[in-house]
Amino acid sequence: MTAKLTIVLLTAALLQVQARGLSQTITLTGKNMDMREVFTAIKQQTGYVVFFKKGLLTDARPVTVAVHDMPLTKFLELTMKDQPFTYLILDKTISLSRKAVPDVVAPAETRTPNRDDNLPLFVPISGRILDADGKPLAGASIFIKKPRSSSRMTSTTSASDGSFILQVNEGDVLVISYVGYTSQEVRVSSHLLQNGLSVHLQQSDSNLDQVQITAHGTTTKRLNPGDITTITAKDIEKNPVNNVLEAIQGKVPGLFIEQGTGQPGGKFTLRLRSSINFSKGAIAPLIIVDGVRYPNGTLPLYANNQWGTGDFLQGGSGLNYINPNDIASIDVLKDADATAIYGSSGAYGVIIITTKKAKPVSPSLNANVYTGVSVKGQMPKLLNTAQYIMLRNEALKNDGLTASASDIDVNGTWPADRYHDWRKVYMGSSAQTTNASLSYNGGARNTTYTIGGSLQDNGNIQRHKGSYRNGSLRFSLNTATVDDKFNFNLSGSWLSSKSDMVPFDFSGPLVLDAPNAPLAFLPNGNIDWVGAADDPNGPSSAANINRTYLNTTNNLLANGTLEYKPAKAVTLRTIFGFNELTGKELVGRPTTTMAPTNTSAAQNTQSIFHHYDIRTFTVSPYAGYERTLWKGDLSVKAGGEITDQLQYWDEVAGTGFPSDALLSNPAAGTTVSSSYGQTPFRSLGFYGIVKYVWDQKYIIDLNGRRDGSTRFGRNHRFGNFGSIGAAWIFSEEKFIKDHLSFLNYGKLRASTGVVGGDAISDYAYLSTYSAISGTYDGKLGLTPGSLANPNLEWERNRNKEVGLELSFLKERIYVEGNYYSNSTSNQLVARPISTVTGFSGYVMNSDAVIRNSGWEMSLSTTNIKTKDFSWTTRLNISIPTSKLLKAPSIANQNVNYIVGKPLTGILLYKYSGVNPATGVYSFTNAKGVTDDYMSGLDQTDKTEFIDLAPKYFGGFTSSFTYKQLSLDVFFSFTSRKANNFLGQAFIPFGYMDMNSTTDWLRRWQKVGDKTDMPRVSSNFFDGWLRQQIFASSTGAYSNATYARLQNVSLRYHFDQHMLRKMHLGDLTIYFQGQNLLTISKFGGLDPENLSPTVIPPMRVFTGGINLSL
Amino acid sequence: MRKIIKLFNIFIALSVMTTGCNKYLDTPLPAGTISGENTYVSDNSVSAVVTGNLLYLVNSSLFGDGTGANLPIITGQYVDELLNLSTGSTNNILFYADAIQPGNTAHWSELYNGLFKVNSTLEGIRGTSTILYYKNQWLGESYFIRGVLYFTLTNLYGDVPLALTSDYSINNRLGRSPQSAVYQQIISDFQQAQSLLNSGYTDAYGAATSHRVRPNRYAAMGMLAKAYLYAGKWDSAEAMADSVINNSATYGLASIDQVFKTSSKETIWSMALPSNEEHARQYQVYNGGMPNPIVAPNSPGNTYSVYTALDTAFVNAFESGDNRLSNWVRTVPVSGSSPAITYYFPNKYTSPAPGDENEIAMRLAEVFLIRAEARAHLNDIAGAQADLDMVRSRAGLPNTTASDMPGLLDAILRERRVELFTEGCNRFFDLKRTGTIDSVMTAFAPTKGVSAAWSHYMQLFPIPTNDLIQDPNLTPNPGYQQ
Repeated sequence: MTAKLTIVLLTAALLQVQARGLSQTITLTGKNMDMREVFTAIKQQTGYVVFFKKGLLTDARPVTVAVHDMPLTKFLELTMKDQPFTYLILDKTISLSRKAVPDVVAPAETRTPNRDDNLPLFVPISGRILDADGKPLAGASIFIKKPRSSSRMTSTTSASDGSFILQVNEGDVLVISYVGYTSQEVRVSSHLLQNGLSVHLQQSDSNLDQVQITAHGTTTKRLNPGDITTITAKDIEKNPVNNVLEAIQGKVPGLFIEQGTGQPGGKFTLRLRSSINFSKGAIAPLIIVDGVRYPNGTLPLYANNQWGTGDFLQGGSGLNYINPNDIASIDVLKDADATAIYGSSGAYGVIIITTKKAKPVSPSLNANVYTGVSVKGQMPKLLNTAQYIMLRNEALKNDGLTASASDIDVNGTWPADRYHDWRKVYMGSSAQTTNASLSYNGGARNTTYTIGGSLQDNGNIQRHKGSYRNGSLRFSLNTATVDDKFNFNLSGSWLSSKSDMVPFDFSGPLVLDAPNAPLAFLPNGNIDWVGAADDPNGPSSAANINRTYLNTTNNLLANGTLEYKPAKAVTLRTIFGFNELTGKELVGRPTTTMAPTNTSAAQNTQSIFHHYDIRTFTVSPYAGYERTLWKGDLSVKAGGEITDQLQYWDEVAGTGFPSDALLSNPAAGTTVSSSYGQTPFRSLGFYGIVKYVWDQKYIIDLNGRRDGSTRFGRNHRFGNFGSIGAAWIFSEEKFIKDHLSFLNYGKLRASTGVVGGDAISDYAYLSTYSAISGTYDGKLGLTPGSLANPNLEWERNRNKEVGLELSFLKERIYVEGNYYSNSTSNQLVARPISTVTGFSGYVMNSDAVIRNSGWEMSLSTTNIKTKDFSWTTRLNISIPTSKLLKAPSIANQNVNYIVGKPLTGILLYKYSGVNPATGVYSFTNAKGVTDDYMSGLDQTDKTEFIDLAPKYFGGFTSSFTYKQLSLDVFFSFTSRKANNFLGQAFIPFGYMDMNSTTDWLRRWQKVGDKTDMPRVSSNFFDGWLRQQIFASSTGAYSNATYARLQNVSLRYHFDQHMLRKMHLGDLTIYFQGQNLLTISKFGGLDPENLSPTVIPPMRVFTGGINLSL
Repeated sequence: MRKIIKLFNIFIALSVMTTGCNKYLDTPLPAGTISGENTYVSDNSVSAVVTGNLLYLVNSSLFGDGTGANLPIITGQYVDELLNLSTGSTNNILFYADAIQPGNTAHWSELYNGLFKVNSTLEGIRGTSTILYYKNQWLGESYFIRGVLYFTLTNLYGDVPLALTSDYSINNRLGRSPQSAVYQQIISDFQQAQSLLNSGYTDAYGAATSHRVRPNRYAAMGMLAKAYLYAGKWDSAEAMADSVINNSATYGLASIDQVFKTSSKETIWSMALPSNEEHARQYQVYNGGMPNPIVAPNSPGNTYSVYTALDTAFVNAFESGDNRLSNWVRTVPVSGSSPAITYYFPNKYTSPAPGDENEIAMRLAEVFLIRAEARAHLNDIAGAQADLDMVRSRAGLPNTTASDMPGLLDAILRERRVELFTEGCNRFFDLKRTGTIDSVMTAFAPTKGVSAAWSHYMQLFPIPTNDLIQDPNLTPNPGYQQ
């Protein structure tokens, strides 16, 4: 019997091949035809093969038809109308099964076939897999648990309409699973065999079944042998932010995120797992957005470097130009197993950002709007006029002086009762922030789409009320052919932003003007050049407010994914990713920024148009093969990645304009210069992945990749990288199940591998000459670039990780712990060299060895769960450490690098406090001699070592739900040492027209005073020299540990009853706050951006509404 | 299994493609960049490299840069020439206060960066197989620039490492060479330039020109005379100065108001303005748009980009009737100040019009003073007096009354002070090489009013700490906190 059926199947397969190109309509005429004849006609005309159980046709009725070009489905309907069986079309097969018995009127004994006849070795069962709402789930896997025979297919996946067909025996248990849903088991009964099966899968609320995006695929946390943290839109949308990095800060173990400035559009620093490199700044992880490499560092902004505006945006961040609302998930890949497949660039971690895609759900319209205010963040308190004057007079007195003619702040020239809070004057207090987005999701069986748009408006709190605005549009389209063999997804988003903020950070020295200095503004807002002329910092600094700036940045992201499944087990896919980030800045310096008496003002007017463009194109072809092998699932994947990036900038700069109005066109200047620059970058990689999951218990994963990059010379371009990862889900073992039933899930995983790095500048291997600006007597000049090193090659990072994941008490407690140890060798560094060579660094592969290791832990608990109330908490903590294991043999990289110590530390003089006898800083030298040194200390006296890297950081979330109300409270925390306010001061307090913090009220006053603030003095040079030493001493550093109430989100979600009444699909009203409270002992300075001259992260309060139809 | 094999085959095929991929990775260089090997292929590109080195002198903060960090200003402020008016620049404040630290002197690195460029250029020209028609000019100009860089370097830092190649592995281990060896190198470089360069002025294409901005043989000889003088080789200094002065067809003293114009016959070598600058740096720094009188007493620096003015003591050093005081110094009162404040600004460069003035680096008056000094040392009193009086009479002053060697040397030093002020680093270097710096500055430093006392060690600038760490053969200049 088996042999017979095999022949049928084989014939069918052959016919299928022949049938290619046949129509799907039937033309047939005949009277009282046997059903077998009908099926033969179908085969011949359409190529569709009919499967049925032996004996099913015994009671088939003969049919009479006369049809011409009738669609197949209609034809089947017609011919089967009165038959005792029904049909199901799947791919190119039509399977028949018996209709429910009660329909049959005829006597049972004659109609019901013999039981033995009806029980072949295996029979087809058909069914559909649906979600809770009845929407079909495509790609769900159905497999037979413990099949009695292994000589046939024991698993399949559902088609796009959720249907499937599988050969089974009665009594088999089917396991139906789908990524992100709770698996179900169904026992095959005769009833099911006859009626088919309809399974509704419930969306899993277990974190273990959360979808994770891996390199070139997806998995669940449960089955992943690598270390990936996933943050989904659900978490992101609780944060009223315009850079998604602010929303995930503190939520990803191992990923340290620091916001550089509170200015909208400013910089963020990313660092994954401590400082893996010798280079001074942290190397940011690779960022992939929808398949394309995305700028991960600062942008080539003009505002970075001119006229002291470098602090303004600090270079910005590429992720400012992706609306957080459009992001579906962020996956942070950390260990070798997860990152090795990014070979060359995976050494510093990989962040994969996936934008929202079309989903097969019922058509819906969603609107989300919030608005609120942002206000100044944490700043130290400054002295008021009375305090300032008192201390200034004391300073003069300490120097044996009295107020001279030039001390206009205290000699009566400036009134002693005048007080200005310069922060209020220049930095303002609050600004509005608004965000609105709208999306529509729709589609039919094989095609789904989503379209959406959003608007954001972030005001700047500074005196000049500029703002940062953006609008975006996006679409995503999924479609598949009827047979589901070919499908594609097309998505694109375009964001256009505009910023007209003044390119100046007023929190700098300007706010440290004497509090009784004259106001540099007239009542109408213009600069008071006459009334405030005697303030050296006044009008000319205040006039920065008249600078003009317009930044228009556009971001286009496009992604096309084509997927073809020539056979069930084979997937061929190509992803095309495109990104173009382009910014235009128009920076103007009108005459109003200069004194009206300046006769050169018109000549010095300036206008610069700066334009940059970063265009990246990534193509990733991929082939995957999956099959069941013995008791497990094997998948083999191979693919490649080709990246082509072109970065260029051009600039037109003009000076000397006949009118300020003409500053809009820099080419209208008296002198015009232009410049242009362009840098290409290409990389290429091939990879192979083999993964085997045995019995849902043992997982092994092998990755290999060969990479090439233009950053290296011809002979060193390619490098090989790879990793191995393994996991053991021990909770699936019988002895655990039997003896430790409280353990729902336990996984032990380990991975190791070699990942590469090419984090050096382009063309460092080549000696180059480039044109320099300007001409000399009419001739252009060429100048050599940096020192070339033709022997540069890939950096190699050996990463190891062990992780344990446990889940107890029906997943009410989930614990994960990871230990990693990464050692970096052959590291690409700019080795410092004596500038006698012409340069301060030489890029080379260093033979030093650095080890970065650390612990990361997370704990989620459901503390209370009743019908109405639930309380869950999540905690994560990362403890990174780094150590220099082997010093570079050629040259000391940096005086602060010591074997056995972290790389992130510095050597300092030992500060011995304010000398009670003299009131000035005292230090202890290497010989142990404490004195009030102003000079005479050298490098060898730096005996103290302080590590500035975070000791630990993490986040803590508490979520409460009471009926329809939910409250999320999120704290982030970081412990580290940092440069304190006093340590960053230029000179100690006392110099003319320089205010400082109220800490100075504690200053030393008389012999014997024990305090931490020195005596005040107006002597510039003494103060400056002492401060120089102090800044390099332990006194300049203090504990900047802080906890921040990063986010509070209160949401009211209307219940179904109310929603039905209002004819709404969904409605949520919410209030959110960002950066609400900071608890630290860091002297009032923001412990995150740590800078007294840069505006700290804003505090934001918003309220909003989210509505679906 | 068949499929696995298929996939495997695809993967192998992909790997084989790697060779083709190498081609994909051969990207073009960034726009405006050429590889080193493609640089020394024609007179045009070699000329551009040499021009780049000349441009470096005026673009870097060595001699260019109108912001107050350039050597003429900071050395002037360091000694008794210039006053600091900038409250915003720590650098200027510290130089003025004679309180610099290793972190304040970037000029060391800039000079060596220039030397790297010149050494690379020399190696490139020598190494190329291309026939260069103006090879002598490119080589001669390069030796000249190297001489200028080392001359500046040794006078600021004393004994310095002699980097004569572009090879970092050699230069990174250099120790200091004694100043006498450095002078030997300087003299040898200028001698090479002298023998290679044309006697007339040529442009970047080898053609004759009236623009005196690229060094010619006489510029090399003028610098050679100066180097001999600094090295105490009076005979050679006199002989070299002789040769320049005797070329009266090309060089002569101009009338006092025409000295700094591009048409001046007095110019031996001037530095061209980079195309994007309209007027000489000195005009920009000391004049650029300043009203007369100026307004805010505390903030002229902020509003008019004025960083520095002549010290009153310096202004008082002019003899009465000196036409240079009225022609080359501008007196600007501060309105509304009580007591009255007056600032004196150098006024040698007065024209905002492009092309009117180039900053002069070597002119005939200095050559006269070099010869006068050499002759005085050689005890040729009459010769020295004659040379000195050439310069004095142009300024409308009577002949010198000095009649013996010490008297003449003193008179020449005073003359150099008022003739060459704010040109190059002359004042600072003159005080040092004549051994008078300690006595002059000990008396003068306290009058700056910024509580600094002069010490002998201060005549040498400190060496960057990083270089001392990276190069163990390098020793610090004493006295500085490293």
